[in-house]
Amino acid sequence: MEYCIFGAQTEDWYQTFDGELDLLVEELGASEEVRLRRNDAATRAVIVERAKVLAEHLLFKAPKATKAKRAYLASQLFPDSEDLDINMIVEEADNISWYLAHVPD
Amino acid sequence: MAEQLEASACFTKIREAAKGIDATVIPCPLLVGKLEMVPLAILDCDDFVAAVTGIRPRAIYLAEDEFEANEAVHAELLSDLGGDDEGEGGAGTLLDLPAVRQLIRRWQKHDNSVSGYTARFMVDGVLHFWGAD
Repeated sequence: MEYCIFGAQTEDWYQTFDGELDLLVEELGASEEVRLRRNDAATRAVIVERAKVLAEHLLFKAPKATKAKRAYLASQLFPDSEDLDINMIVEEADNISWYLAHVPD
Repeated sequence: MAEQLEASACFTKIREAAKGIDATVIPCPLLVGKLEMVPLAILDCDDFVAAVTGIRPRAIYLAEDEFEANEAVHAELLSDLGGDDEGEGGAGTLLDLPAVRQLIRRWQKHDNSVSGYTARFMVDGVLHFWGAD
């Protein structure tokens, strides 16, 4: 549950700080650098999420599962992913699979 | 209305009023989940003090917010710009931006100072809070 903590009475200097902070956040929200960083973060999160699904798929570790076959599997599982993302998903899934195979429970 | 007091002076006045009626002072904010469902009395400093002395609640919630520039900026970035906090591009990483670092540095002189106060009590299902100066 989200609690409401409105209504704090603040010192004058804090109100000045708050105004400056609001302005900065507004500027950052509109800046290209931050926008790109946030987009990268969102893309990365999707890739990791999909890589986890791929790494757990039965065919991922099937005999003779080459990189190309894994990429094909990924493209079937995630048809909306672009080629570049598919390669990143496969690479990440490889890492996840290797990690899970070598780290004790 | 009487001359407006500074927040800290009013908070002291409220604390003294609470002491004067032997109310238990609970040093944390009184939080409410769904505020729209709660009857509210939003009072300025003098009216809040008058309500304390007149109603004589058994418990009053008085809280001070301690300021920490880094933490305050981080929380605002997280809340307004969102994203994964520590991940690439998350709010945590935005703390490294020069403009953000500069703002934090400028306000660190207030670290550990009290930046805000809340004073509330609840009687007969009505939430009374100081908030209208």
